[in-house]
Amino acid sequence: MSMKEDDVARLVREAIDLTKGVQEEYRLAAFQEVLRHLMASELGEVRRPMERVQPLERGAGESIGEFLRKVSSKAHTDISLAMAYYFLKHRNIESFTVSDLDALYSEARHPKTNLNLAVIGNIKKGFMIDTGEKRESMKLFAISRLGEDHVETTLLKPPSVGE
Amino acid sequence: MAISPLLRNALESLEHALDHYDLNTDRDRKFAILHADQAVELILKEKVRREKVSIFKKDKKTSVGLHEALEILSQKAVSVPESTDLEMLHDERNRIQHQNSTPDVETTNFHIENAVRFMMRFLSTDLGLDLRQTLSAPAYQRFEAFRTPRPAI
Repeated sequence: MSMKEDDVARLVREAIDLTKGVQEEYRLAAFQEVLRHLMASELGEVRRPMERVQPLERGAGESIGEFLRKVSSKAHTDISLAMAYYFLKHRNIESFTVSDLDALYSEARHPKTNLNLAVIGNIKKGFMIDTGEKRESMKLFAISRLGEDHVETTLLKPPSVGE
Repeated sequence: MAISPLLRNALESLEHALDHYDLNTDRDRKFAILHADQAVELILKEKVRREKVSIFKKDKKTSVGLHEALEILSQKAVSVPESTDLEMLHDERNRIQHQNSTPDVETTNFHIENAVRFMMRFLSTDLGLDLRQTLSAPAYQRFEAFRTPRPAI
Protein backbone atom coordinates (compact mmCIF):
# COMPACT_ATOMS: atom_id res chain seq x y z
CA MET A 1 0.00 0.00 0.00
CA SER A 2 1.40 3.45 -0.89
CA MET A 3 0.82 6.87 0.64
CA LYS A 4 0.04 10.21 -0.97
CA GLU A 5 2.66 12.96 -0.79
CA ASP A 6 0.34 15.07 1.39
CA ASP A 7 0.03 12.24 3.89
CA VAL A 8 3.78 11.72 3.99
CA ALA A 9 4.34 15.45 4.54
CA ARG A 10 1.76 15.47 7.34
CA LEU A 11 3.42 12.52 9.07
CA VAL A 12 6.87 14.11 8.71
CA ARG A 13 5.54 17.30 10.32
CA GLU A 14 3.96 15.25 13.10
CA ALA A 15 7.22 13.37 13.67
CA ILE A 16 9.17 16.65 13.77
CA ASP A 17 6.70 18.03 16.27
CA LEU A 18 6.88 14.94 18.50
CA THR A 19 10.69 14.92 18.57
CA LYS A 20 11.49 18.61 18.84
CA GLY A 21 12.19 18.30 22.58
CA VAL A 22 14.69 15.47 22.09
CA GLN A 23 18.37 16.30 22.68
CA GLU A 24 20.05 17.27 19.43
CA GLU A 25 22.44 14.33 19.32
CA TYR A 26 19.53 11.87 19.50
CA ARG A 27 16.95 13.85 17.54
CA LEU A 28 17.58 12.32 14.12
CA ALA A 29 17.38 8.77 15.43
CA ALA A 30 14.24 9.60 17.39
CA PHE A 31 12.69 11.32 14.37
CA GLN A 32 13.33 8.28 12.17
CA GLU A 33 11.85 5.99 14.78
CA VAL A 34 8.74 8.12 15.28
CA LEU A 35 8.21 8.51 11.54
CA ARG A 36 8.53 4.76 11.03
CA HIS A 37 5.95 4.23 13.76
CA LEU A 38 3.54 6.81 12.34
CA MET A 39 3.83 5.48 8.79
CA ALA A 40 3.29 1.91 9.92
CA SER A 41 0.20 3.07 11.74
CA GLU A 42 -1.05 5.03 8.73
CA LEU A 43 -0.64 2.02 6.48
CA GLY A 44 -2.62 -0.08 8.90
CA GLU A 45 0.19 -2.41 9.77
CA VAL A 46 -0.70 -4.57 12.69
CA ARG A 47 0.54 -3.08 15.89
CA ARG A 48 0.91 -4.90 19.07
CA PRO A 49 -2.06 -4.51 21.38
CA MET A 50 -2.57 -1.43 23.50
CA GLU A 51 -4.71 -3.02 26.18
CA ARG A 52 -3.88 -2.38 29.78
CA VAL A 53 -0.84 -4.36 30.76
CA GLN A 54 -1.70 -7.41 32.81
CA PRO A 55 0.66 -9.00 35.31
CA LEU A 56 2.28 -12.09 33.89
CA GLU A 57 1.20 -15.40 35.33
CA ARG A 58 3.78 -17.15 37.39
CA GLY A 59 5.93 -19.56 35.42
CA ALA A 60 5.12 -17.96 32.08
CA GLY A 61 8.74 -16.96 31.39
CA GLU A 62 11.28 -14.69 33.00
CA SER A 63 9.66 -12.46 35.59
CA ILE A 64 10.26 -8.73 35.65
CA GLY A 65 12.10 -9.16 38.95
CA GLU A 66 14.46 -11.72 37.41
CA PHE A 67 14.94 -9.52 34.38
CA LEU A 68 15.79 -6.43 36.44
CA ARG A 69 18.44 -8.36 38.34
CA LYS A 70 20.40 -8.51 35.08
CA VAL A 71 20.29 -4.72 34.64
CA SER A 72 23.59 -3.14 35.61
CA SER A 73 22.29 0.37 36.35
CA LYS A 74 20.27 1.77 39.24
CA ALA A 75 19.35 4.97 37.41
CA HIS A 76 15.61 5.55 37.26
CA THR A 77 15.72 6.34 33.53
CA ASP A 78 17.60 3.08 32.88
CA ILE A 79 15.26 0.96 35.01
CA SER A 80 12.18 2.39 33.30
CA LEU A 81 13.83 1.87 29.90
CA ALA A 82 14.61 -1.75 30.82
CA MET A 83 10.95 -2.16 31.75
CA ALA A 84 9.89 -0.81 28.35
CA TYR A 85 12.28 -3.33 26.79
CA TYR A 86 10.76 -6.09 28.93
CA PHE A 87 7.26 -5.12 27.74
CA LEU A 88 8.41 -5.40 24.13
CA LYS A 89 10.55 -8.51 24.27
CA HIS A 90 8.83 -10.58 26.95
CA ARG A 91 5.20 -9.55 26.60
CA ASN A 92 5.05 -8.44 23.00
CA ILE A 93 3.66 -5.05 24.03
CA GLU A 94 4.93 -2.17 21.93
CA SER A 95 3.30 0.85 23.53
CA PHE A 96 2.60 1.56 27.17
CA THR A 97 1.46 4.32 29.50
CA VAL A 98 3.21 5.61 32.60
CA SER A 99 0.51 3.75 34.56
CA ASP A 100 1.63 0.51 32.91
CA LEU A 101 5.19 1.20 34.03
CA ASP A 102 3.90 1.96 37.51
CA ALA A 103 2.11 -1.41 37.55
CA LEU A 104 5.29 -3.15 36.43
CA TYR A 105 7.26 -1.45 39.23
CA SER A 106 4.69 -2.85 41.68
CA GLU A 107 4.92 -6.31 40.13
CA ALA A 108 8.71 -6.19 40.40
CA ARG A 109 8.43 -4.80 43.95
CA HIS A 110 10.98 -2.26 42.87
CA PRO A 111 11.22 1.06 44.79
CA LYS A 112 9.21 3.59 42.81
CA THR A 113 10.32 6.91 41.51
CA ASN A 114 8.70 9.78 39.64
CA LEU A 115 7.99 7.87 36.43
CA ASN A 116 6.91 10.99 34.55
CA LEU A 117 10.45 12.30 35.01
CA ALA A 118 12.03 8.96 34.03
CA VAL A 119 10.02 8.80 30.79
CA ILE A 120 10.83 12.44 29.97
CA GLY A 121 14.53 11.64 30.53
CA ASN A 122 14.36 8.71 28.13
CA ILE A 123 12.56 10.74 25.47
CA LYS A 124 15.26 13.41 25.76
CA LYS A 125 17.90 10.79 25.07
CA GLY A 126 15.92 9.35 22.15
CA PHE A 127 15.47 6.02 23.96
CA MET A 128 11.68 6.28 24.12
CA ILE A 129 9.20 7.97 21.82
CA ASP A 130 5.83 9.57 22.38
CA THR A 131 3.63 7.66 19.92
CA GLY A 132 1.19 10.56 19.72
CA GLU A 133 -1.62 8.26 20.81
CA LYS A 134 -3.48 7.88 24.07
CA ARG A 135 -5.23 5.22 26.10
CA GLU A 136 -7.66 6.28 28.84
CA SER A 137 -6.41 9.86 28.33
CA MET A 138 -2.82 8.87 29.10
CA LYS A 139 -0.07 9.17 26.52
CA LEU A 140 1.27 5.99 24.96
CA PHE A 141 5.04 5.65 24.74
CA ALA A 142 7.28 3.13 23.00
CA ILE A 143 10.91 2.12 23.27
CA SER A 144 12.93 3.24 20.22
CA ARG A 145 15.48 1.10 18.39
CA LEU A 146 18.15 3.30 19.93
CA GLY A 147 16.65 2.46 23.34
CA GLU A 148 16.65 -1.25 22.56
CA ASP A 149 20.31 -1.02 21.55
CA HIS A 150 21.13 0.82 24.78
CA VAL A 151 19.50 -1.90 26.87
CA GLU A 152 21.21 -4.71 24.98
CA THR A 153 24.68 -3.21 24.75
CA THR A 154 24.94 -1.19 27.96
CA LEU A 155 22.38 -2.16 30.57
CA LEU A 156 22.16 -5.93 30.44
CA LYS A 157 25.03 -7.47 32.35
CA PRO A 158 27.00 -10.13 30.50
CA PRO A 159 26.67 -13.48 32.30
CA SER A 160 29.48 -14.21 34.72
CA VAL A 161 31.75 -17.17 34.16
CA GLY A 162 29.92 -20.31 35.18
CA GLU A 163 26.44 -18.81 34.80
CA MET B 1 13.79 41.62 34.25
CA ALA B 2 17.22 40.04 34.69
CA ILE B 3 17.39 37.02 36.94
CA SER B 4 19.47 37.51 40.09
CA PRO B 5 22.52 35.30 40.65
CA LEU B 6 20.77 33.84 43.71
CA LEU B 7 17.79 32.75 41.66
CA ARG B 8 19.86 31.44 38.77
CA ASN B 9 21.97 29.43 41.19
CA ALA B 10 18.80 28.07 42.84
CA LEU B 11 17.46 26.85 39.49
CA GLU B 12 20.79 25.31 38.52
CA SER B 13 21.05 23.58 41.89
CA LEU B 14 17.60 22.08 41.49
CA GLU B 15 18.42 20.79 38.01
CA HIS B 16 21.66 19.36 39.36
CA ALA B 17 19.68 17.70 42.17
CA LEU B 18 17.43 16.04 39.58
CA ASP B 19 20.45 14.76 37.64
CA HIS B 20 21.71 13.03 40.80
CA TYR B 21 18.18 11.92 41.74
CA ASP B 22 17.89 10.03 38.47
CA LEU B 23 21.23 8.24 38.85
CA ASN B 24 20.00 6.80 42.16
CA THR B 25 23.23 5.39 43.59
CA ASP B 26 23.86 5.85 47.33
CA ARG B 27 26.22 8.71 46.57
CA ASP B 28 23.89 10.33 44.04
CA ARG B 29 20.96 10.31 46.45
CA LYS B 30 23.12 12.20 48.96
CA PHE B 31 23.98 14.85 46.40
CA ALA B 32 20.38 15.05 45.22
CA ILE B 33 19.35 15.99 48.76
CA LEU B 34 22.26 18.41 49.26
CA HIS B 35 21.56 20.28 46.03
CA ALA B 36 17.80 20.33 46.54
CA ASP B 37 18.27 21.82 50.00
CA GLN B 38 20.66 24.39 48.58
CA ALA B 39 18.11 25.30 45.88
CA VAL B 40 15.40 25.77 48.49
CA GLU B 41 17.62 27.92 50.71
CA LEU B 42 18.66 30.11 47.79
CA ILE B 43 15.12 30.69 46.59
CA LEU B 44 14.07 31.68 50.12
CA LYS B 45 17.02 34.10 50.27
CA GLU B 46 15.94 35.57 46.95
CA LYS B 47 12.54 36.32 48.45
CA VAL B 48 14.22 37.84 51.53
CA ARG B 49 16.23 40.05 49.20
CA ARG B 50 13.11 41.10 47.34
CA GLU B 51 11.52 42.02 50.67
CA LYS B 52 14.37 44.54 51.00
CA VAL B 53 15.95 42.69 53.92
CA SER B 54 19.68 41.97 53.82
CA ILE B 55 20.51 38.30 53.40
CA PHE B 56 23.69 38.90 55.43
CA LYS B 57 24.03 38.45 59.16
CA LYS B 58 25.36 41.22 61.40
CA ASP B 59 28.96 40.19 60.73
CA LYS B 60 28.27 40.92 57.02
CA LYS B 61 30.39 37.90 56.12
CA THR B 62 27.94 35.04 56.39
CA SER B 63 24.41 34.95 55.07
CA VAL B 64 21.24 33.74 56.72
CA GLY B 65 20.37 30.05 56.60
CA LEU B 66 17.10 28.30 55.90
CA HIS B 67 15.61 28.77 59.36
CA GLU B 68 16.49 32.46 59.53
CA ALA B 69 15.15 33.03 56.03
CA LEU B 70 11.84 31.38 56.97
CA GLU B 71 11.73 33.53 60.13
CA ILE B 72 12.29 36.74 58.17
CA LEU B 73 9.63 35.79 55.62
CA SER B 74 7.20 34.98 58.42
CA GLN B 75 7.77 38.46 59.89
CA LYS B 76 7.06 39.90 56.43
CA ALA B 77 3.80 37.92 56.29
CA VAL B 78 5.04 35.75 53.43
CA SER B 79 3.27 32.41 53.84
CA VAL B 80 5.34 29.28 53.29
CA PRO B 81 2.96 26.39 54.03
CA GLU B 82 5.66 23.91 53.00
CA SER B 83 8.02 25.13 55.75
CA THR B 84 7.75 21.97 57.86
CA ASP B 85 8.70 19.81 54.88
CA LEU B 86 11.54 22.17 54.00
CA GLU B 87 12.85 21.97 57.56
CA MET B 88 12.80 18.17 57.32
CA LEU B 89 14.75 18.37 54.08
CA HIS B 90 17.29 20.63 55.77
CA ASP B 91 17.56 18.19 58.67
CA GLU B 92 18.22 15.36 56.19
CA ARG B 93 20.84 17.55 54.54
CA ASN B 94 22.53 18.09 57.92
CA ARG B 95 22.64 14.35 58.60
CA ILE B 96 24.32 13.81 55.24
CA GLN B 97 26.69 16.74 55.60
CA HIS B 98 27.76 16.14 59.19
CA GLN B 99 27.23 12.42 59.80
CA ASN B 100 27.74 10.90 56.34
CA SER B 101 24.18 9.58 56.38
CA THR B 102 22.87 7.90 53.20
CA PRO B 103 19.21 8.51 52.35
CA ASP B 104 17.23 5.57 50.97
CA VAL B 105 15.17 5.71 47.77
CA GLU B 106 11.86 6.46 49.49
CA THR B 107 13.31 9.21 51.65
CA THR B 108 14.95 10.77 48.62
CA ASN B 109 11.70 10.58 46.62
CA PHE B 110 9.87 12.28 49.47
CA HIS B 111 12.28 15.19 49.78
CA ILE B 112 12.87 15.72 46.07
CA GLU B 113 9.17 15.74 45.26
CA ASN B 114 8.48 18.20 48.08
CA ALA B 115 11.38 20.43 47.05
CA VAL B 116 10.41 20.58 43.36
CA ARG B 117 6.73 21.19 44.10
CA PHE B 118 7.64 23.95 46.54
CA MET B 119 9.99 25.54 44.03
CA MET B 120 7.38 25.44 41.27
CA ARG B 121 4.77 27.09 43.47
CA PHE B 122 7.06 29.64 45.09
CA LEU B 123 8.70 30.68 41.82
CA SER B 124 5.38 31.51 40.22
CA THR B 125 3.24 32.75 43.12
CA ASP B 126 5.83 34.46 45.34
CA LEU B 127 8.51 35.48 42.88
CA GLY B 128 6.11 36.16 40.01
CA LEU B 129 8.03 34.18 37.43
CA ASP B 130 6.50 32.78 34.28
CA LEU B 131 8.19 29.39 34.44
CA ARG B 132 7.67 28.64 30.76
CA GLN B 133 9.54 31.80 29.89
CA THR B 134 12.20 31.61 32.58
CA LEU B 135 13.19 27.96 32.39
CA SER B 136 14.60 26.15 29.40
CA ALA B 137 12.05 23.81 27.78
CA PRO B 138 13.78 20.64 29.08
CA ALA B 139 14.07 22.07 32.60
CA TYR B 140 10.42 23.15 32.58
CA GLN B 141 9.37 19.66 31.47
CA ARG B 142 11.41 18.03 34.24
CA PHE B 143 10.03 20.31 36.96
CA GLU B 144 6.51 19.97 35.59
CA ALA B 145 6.77 16.16 35.91
CA PHE B 146 6.40 16.65 39.67
CA ARG B 147 3.43 18.96 39.64
CA THR B 148 0.70 16.36 39.38
CA PRO B 149 0.26 13.08 41.25
CA ARG B 150 2.10 10.28 39.58
CA PRO B 151 1.73 8.75 37.03
CA ALA B 152 0.43 11.79 35.22
CA ILE B 153 1.54 12.16 31.63
